[in-house]
Amino acid sequence: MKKAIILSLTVFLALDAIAQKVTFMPQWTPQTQFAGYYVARDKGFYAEEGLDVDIIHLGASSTESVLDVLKSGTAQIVGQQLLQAVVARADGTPIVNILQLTQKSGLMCVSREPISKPEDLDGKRIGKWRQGYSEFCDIMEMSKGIYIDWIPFVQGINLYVFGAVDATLCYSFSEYISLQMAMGDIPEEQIIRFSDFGYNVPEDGLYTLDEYYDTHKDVVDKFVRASKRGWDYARSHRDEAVEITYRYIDKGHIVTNLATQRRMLDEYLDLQVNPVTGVADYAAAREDDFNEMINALIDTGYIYGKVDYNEIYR
Amino acid sequence: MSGTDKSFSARLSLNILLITSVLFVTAIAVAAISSHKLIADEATKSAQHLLNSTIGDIEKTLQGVETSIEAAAWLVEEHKNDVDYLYHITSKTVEENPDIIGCAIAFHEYYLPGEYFFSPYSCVGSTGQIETMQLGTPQNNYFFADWYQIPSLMGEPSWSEPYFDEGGAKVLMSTYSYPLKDESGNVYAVLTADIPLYWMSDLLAEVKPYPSSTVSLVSRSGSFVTIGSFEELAGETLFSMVDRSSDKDKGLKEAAMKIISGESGVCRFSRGTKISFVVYGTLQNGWHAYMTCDYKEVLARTSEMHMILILIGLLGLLILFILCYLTIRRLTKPLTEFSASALSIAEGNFNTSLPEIKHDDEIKQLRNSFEFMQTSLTEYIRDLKETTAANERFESELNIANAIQMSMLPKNFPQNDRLGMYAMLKPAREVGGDLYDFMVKDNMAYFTVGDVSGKGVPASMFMAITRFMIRFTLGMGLPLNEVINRVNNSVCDGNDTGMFVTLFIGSVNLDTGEFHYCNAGHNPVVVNGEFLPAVPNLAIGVWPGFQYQEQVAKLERGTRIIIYTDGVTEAEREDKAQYGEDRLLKWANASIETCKSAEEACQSLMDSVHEFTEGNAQNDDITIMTIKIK
Repeated sequence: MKKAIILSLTVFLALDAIAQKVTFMPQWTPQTQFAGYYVARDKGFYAEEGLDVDIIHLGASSTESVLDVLKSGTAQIVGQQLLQAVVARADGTPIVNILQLTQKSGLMCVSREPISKPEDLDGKRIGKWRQGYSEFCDIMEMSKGIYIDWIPFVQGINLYVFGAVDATLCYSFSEYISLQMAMGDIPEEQIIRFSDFGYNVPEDGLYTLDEYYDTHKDVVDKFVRASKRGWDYARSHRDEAVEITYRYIDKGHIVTNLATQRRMLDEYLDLQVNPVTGVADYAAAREDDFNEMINALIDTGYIYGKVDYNEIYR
Repeated sequence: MSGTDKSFSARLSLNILLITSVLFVTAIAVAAISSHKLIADEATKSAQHLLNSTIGDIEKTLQGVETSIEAAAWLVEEHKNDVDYLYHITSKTVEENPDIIGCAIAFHEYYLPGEYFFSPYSCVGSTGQIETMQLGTPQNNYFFADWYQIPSLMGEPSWSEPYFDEGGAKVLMSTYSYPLKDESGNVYAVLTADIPLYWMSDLLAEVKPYPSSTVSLVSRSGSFVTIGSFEELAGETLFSMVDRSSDKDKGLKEAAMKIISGESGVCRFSRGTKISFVVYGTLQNGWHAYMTCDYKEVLARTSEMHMILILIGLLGLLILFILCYLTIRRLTKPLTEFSASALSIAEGNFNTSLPEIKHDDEIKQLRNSFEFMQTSLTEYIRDLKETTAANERFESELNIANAIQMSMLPKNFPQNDRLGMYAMLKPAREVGGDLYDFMVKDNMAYFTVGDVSGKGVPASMFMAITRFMIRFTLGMGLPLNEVINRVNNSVCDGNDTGMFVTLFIGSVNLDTGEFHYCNAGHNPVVVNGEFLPAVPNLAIGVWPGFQYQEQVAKLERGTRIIIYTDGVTEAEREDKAQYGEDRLLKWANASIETCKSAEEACQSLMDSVHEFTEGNAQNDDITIMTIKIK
């Protein structure tokens, strides 16, 4: 018996020693937007792939970006939006998509007054995230020929709730739910979804640097496989996924509530459904859409040279 | 009897109880509904008043903080170029206002040349000492903090959303931010005061008009500023709570919308079976306060009162029932006694005593009527007894009269080789007015049948007299018409009653067959199946001195004579049809020859009449005499 225990311990320690350490950083503080990764970690899907995954987060008031963390080597894999990843690659950060998670854009604008189209936002003071996303704003201003007084915010919805802005950008799975939790139902006539106006660039995906991809292809594959498994599990075990996420929320001292997290998970899982196939298939963005986005970024001056589709989706 | 009495009392008592119960339940229901509404309205007003008073208490503290900051703002204006003094202002503000645990003056970018951040800041450290520092760093970029951004954008002071102080005392905090503007109205700095919010929880916990009522304060974004147990509700908002409620809960979302509407008022909601009302109001800083009260608790005292009222009512109804039952039983007791008396009287005890009634009421009237009935009944029975005795006596006398009358009629009918004769008289009453008689002397046979007008005793007496006179006169050997003339004159003499007699008298010489007869207004006689012709003489006793005519006929041997009274031809059935002369002649022709004797012929005709009348009551005397000349 004693021998058996010693043997087991030895095997465990040996496995631990050979498990490959990976640090992953999602874009934001713990919430069900990242439930699949927490599930993959806590249900042992990463471990089963021989990975020792550490999930780290940026502070809410941090001035660092996930790309900074990726470049610094603190994290080997990060969550990022396609648009920003493309800009980063154009700017010289050798970033590569290893998993395209969402298939639709959840970007929307909630106004204090009724609006029906992006042009109605002309001349308005509108809240937007301080960290990034300005590419989209500039693309929209330029394509619609309007001027917007953008007010950057770090977190949340308070500028809108206090009336410090006329409208605010938000994501359907995040700030929009927070707004509903703060103010109740928001009339549809005060909302526009940009996907209804030709902007439907898929957003969240997993990214790593070329170098890491080249040298740790097996680790990347394992991480992606386990992550997909985590998301698939979360889709079919939503309450448990929220419960697992809450361990990270509590650890990060994040003030939120169960209703918000559950609604967020439902909406985020919906964004993962490919509108073409009707299932969550983790498909890469269509090349045509991708190239259209590249052209828009070149037009707005965000990038100067063309970014090749195959450089991002290797 | 006792069972019936009980049943009546119980039934009446139950009816009274039922009506009273309906009235009682209606009264209680009306009282309950109106008092519930009244108390609920009062409770709502009282709760609103209490909430407004609580809001006032909170605002007093918040206004104290606002006043301190406004005073500090004036100092900042005065010394905005004296960096050291600016630090002094922050520490002095914290020092002088115990509600403030942190104070910052966050200046715009590059307020100090070359310095992106400049924000003198003082706070109460973990040791309780005031610590002063410069707040802004690249890691702590206050330019994007709500407390800086919102007043800067809006140009007016504001209270921040509650936040969890991660660095210091780990308590829920809020920051009051006051924008400082330059001459052209541009915000160049934001002056802030950080205050912990736990005191609000303590204050609100004291406000508890009902055991489970709660007073809560939520921020502009619906987050809980204070609550009894903050840990449970950290991060929750009004609408997240609504989102987690079950389908059975009603009105929660509407209540939440009203609470954050910025107005004050009252509305209802329910969670499961628990129905509550919520009063709400808004603080000047945009936060919303509301108090929930469970209707069950609000109305608990009234419900208790109603329960006592119902118990008293039920007890009252029980007492009412018992009293009704006993009273009705006492009042109806004489009726029971009357019932026993009536039974006794019915059994013939006319002297049975009746119960005594003291009160002059309906029962007394009933007793009097009963007594009158008892007296009348006694008298009636006595009269009845006397009448019965008199009737019995009269009947006895009549029977005697009948016997006498019957005895006067001759019974020994001649039955020999020359003559067969028989007669029957059946009076309609005990005594009759018909008569028959016969007499055989040598070779002469005399016979007569008569009918006195009227019936009964007077007719029978008249009949007796007439019979006597005929028999007497006949004995004088006079012709038949002379016999009748004399009898007529005698009868008419002193006939004050106006009675008369129809009569047939005949005599047959048995040797020669010579037949003399006189018909004094009597029915025609049937001879050998035909009516015997007769002159129309008047009845005896009608006209004194009337000369009757005698008629003569020759009878052959074997002749059959039927003499009868109108009781035969006028015998009636129930349908008023009469036996009649035709039926008589028919019988005389068809049946008489089959009869072996005069008696049998008499009986046969009598049977024929009876058969015709089918048992209908006889209304006249019937007399039949049959004669056969041999």
